Amino acid sequence: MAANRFVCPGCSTTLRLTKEVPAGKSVKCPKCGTSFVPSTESPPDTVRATPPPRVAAAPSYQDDVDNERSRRPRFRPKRKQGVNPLLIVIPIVAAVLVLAAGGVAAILLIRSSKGDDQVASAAPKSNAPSASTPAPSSNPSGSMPNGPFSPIQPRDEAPSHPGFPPNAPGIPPNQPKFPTGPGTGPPAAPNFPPGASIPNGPGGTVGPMNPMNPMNPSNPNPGPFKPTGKIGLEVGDTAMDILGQDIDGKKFKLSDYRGKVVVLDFWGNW
Amino acid sequence: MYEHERSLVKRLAGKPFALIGVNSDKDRVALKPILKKEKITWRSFWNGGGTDGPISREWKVTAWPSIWVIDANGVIRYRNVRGPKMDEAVDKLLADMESGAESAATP
Repeated sequence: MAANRFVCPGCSTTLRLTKEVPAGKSVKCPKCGTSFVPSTESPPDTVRATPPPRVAAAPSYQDDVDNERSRRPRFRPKRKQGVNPLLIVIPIVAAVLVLAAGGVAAILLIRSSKGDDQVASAAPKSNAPSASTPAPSSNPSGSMPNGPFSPIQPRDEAPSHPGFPPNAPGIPPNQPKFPTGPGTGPPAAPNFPPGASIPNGPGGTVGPMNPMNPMNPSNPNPGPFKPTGKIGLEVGDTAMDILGQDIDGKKFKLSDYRGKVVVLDFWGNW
Repeated sequence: MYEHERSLVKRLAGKPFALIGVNSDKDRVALKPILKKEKITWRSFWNGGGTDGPISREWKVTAWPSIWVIDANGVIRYRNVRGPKMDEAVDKLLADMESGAESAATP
């Protein structure tokens, strides 16, 4: 802002002209209202104005500058000391944080490696290298759960698939239940053991052939029904003798009635 | 059922015929008054006090009642014939016996 300064002749106040006034024109003082031509009085102002920057003003500025310089070094160091510590502390803190993060990461890595070793030792499958390699990347904590979980998931999946075979043997035990069911209740079970070959026959064939089909009772059903028709004595067979006692406890034999037509009636008063 | 068997036994009295039971009740003492009440005159084996007795087990009987019609030679000829069919089976076997006896006697 090169402002022309001059003194009002009326009130002797220093005035500034933001705009250069052409020579010969009068200027009106805003305070006293006296109009004057600054040009006439401006020369001393101009002399003041122009020389001071060059001669008089320069030393003043220099003084000021010196004062400022003398002051600035006083203040600037303070400012620098105030600013620089921040600039110094921030990277230090950042470095400390980085080191701390690195240390934590290292601890986690060590723990993860130990955990993997434990998992590897516990689990027959060695997933430790696979877990340790992804660990140093970024997420040691993430790799930790992934490490143990990854072997667990295949374990869960693995038993699920073999779970079907276990279910298959689990179902065949039900087969003897099915034969006994249609075979008119529990007595069928004790009656079958002598002829266990036949009930085991269909059960054995159905079991290995289609482990999932045993769910169909149709397969075991023909087993018990066929034995009831085929197991034991059939028409044309010679009746085995019965050596027993009657209701009164008297012993007699079925063969005692040889030579007679016999109707043998298995009965009960129920 | 008892009625039909009673009539069968009564009708074939004096013939080479026998109705033999295998009783699978649990209480033998409690069965005796029933024998009298039902006029069960034919003899029965005692199965040992249950359906899992030795006789039914040996014969592999899994359903009750179970009927076996055995001819004079001890050969099983019919199974599980009831009512009129039982009569027919027994009558036929008796007839075969008589014819067989005659044929055996003639030569």
